[in-house]
Amino acid sequence: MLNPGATLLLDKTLETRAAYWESRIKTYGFQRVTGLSLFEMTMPGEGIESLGRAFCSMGDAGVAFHLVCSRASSQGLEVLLLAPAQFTKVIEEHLQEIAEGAGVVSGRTLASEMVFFQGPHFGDRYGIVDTTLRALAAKRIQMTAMACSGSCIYLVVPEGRSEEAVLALSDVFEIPKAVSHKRSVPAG
Amino acid sequence: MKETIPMEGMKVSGDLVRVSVADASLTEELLTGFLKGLTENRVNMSLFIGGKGSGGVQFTCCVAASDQDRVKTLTEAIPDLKACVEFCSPVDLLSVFPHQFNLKALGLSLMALGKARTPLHGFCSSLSALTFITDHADLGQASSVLQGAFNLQKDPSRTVC
Repeated sequence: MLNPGATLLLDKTLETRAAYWESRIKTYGFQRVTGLSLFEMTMPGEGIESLGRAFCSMGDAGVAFHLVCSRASSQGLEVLLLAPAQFTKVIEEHLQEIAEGAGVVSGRTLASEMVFFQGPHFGDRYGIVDTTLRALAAKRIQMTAMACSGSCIYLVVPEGRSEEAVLALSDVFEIPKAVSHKRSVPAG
Repeated sequence: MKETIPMEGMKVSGDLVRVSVADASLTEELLTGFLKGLTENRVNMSLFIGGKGSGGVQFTCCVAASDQDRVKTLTEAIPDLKACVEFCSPVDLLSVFPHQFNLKALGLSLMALGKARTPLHGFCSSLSALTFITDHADLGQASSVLQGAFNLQKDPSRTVC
């Protein structure tokens, strides 16, 4: 039987609150993708239509991508595009056109690899990014970029570092027994 | 004839605050300190986009408006963090899906939003969705623009708010 204080609380608050938490956060396994190029550029906000046009042209040219994200900065929009390295030349050609037309402030291309993973209720839980970056820091692995959208965590690391990243993550996250944490997907 | 590609639906996550470090760069220690504070305060991020350049780390994340005071309190406790964190509210996340890893879907979205001069604070792909960060005041316009770009208006049952 509930004590009077608890009954009073329940009478006044109809909402039920619950939190999902494990001491070791479960995942559905880590996936590595190698052989990627990360394209970084900063462009003025008014150049967004030109950027869209370039992405349309790249799509028509059959350019695939693994991750694309952008965030506002004082200079406009910082844009990251992670794509298979085989598309580097065609992407750089399209980005060069934007640079000439829309005034890209800066840009660079980095050989990269990616680790991505999901887990139960990842989109609605706190602490996942924190745990991820602490795991990498413990092994002195530097991320180039990171994005969490929906229930997916994407980590971009320099070329040759994704296997170490997976090992570092495996120290702190739970992985299903049936899934190999070294599962690797070549880009393309 | 206007070119469109098939999209199945749209989703809005509203009542959010955008927290960002954009004009300065953080050390990794400051970023981990910030994230540790979010965990200790049980604050979930609806979206996180971070990158590391030569000067340090910059990021944008979105948290529930109801968590804004707690996030402000934890950043104020770290002066170096407080000096470079900006809060922007109210913002919403507007997602269209599925993108099927087709850059053209993003391209059409950006062209439509750019043509309508809808301010964007960022965007991010996930396995299925393309998510755009907009000011709450611009949500209606952004939603109409994307519905038009993908012919979603014919099936409003697939639009979730």
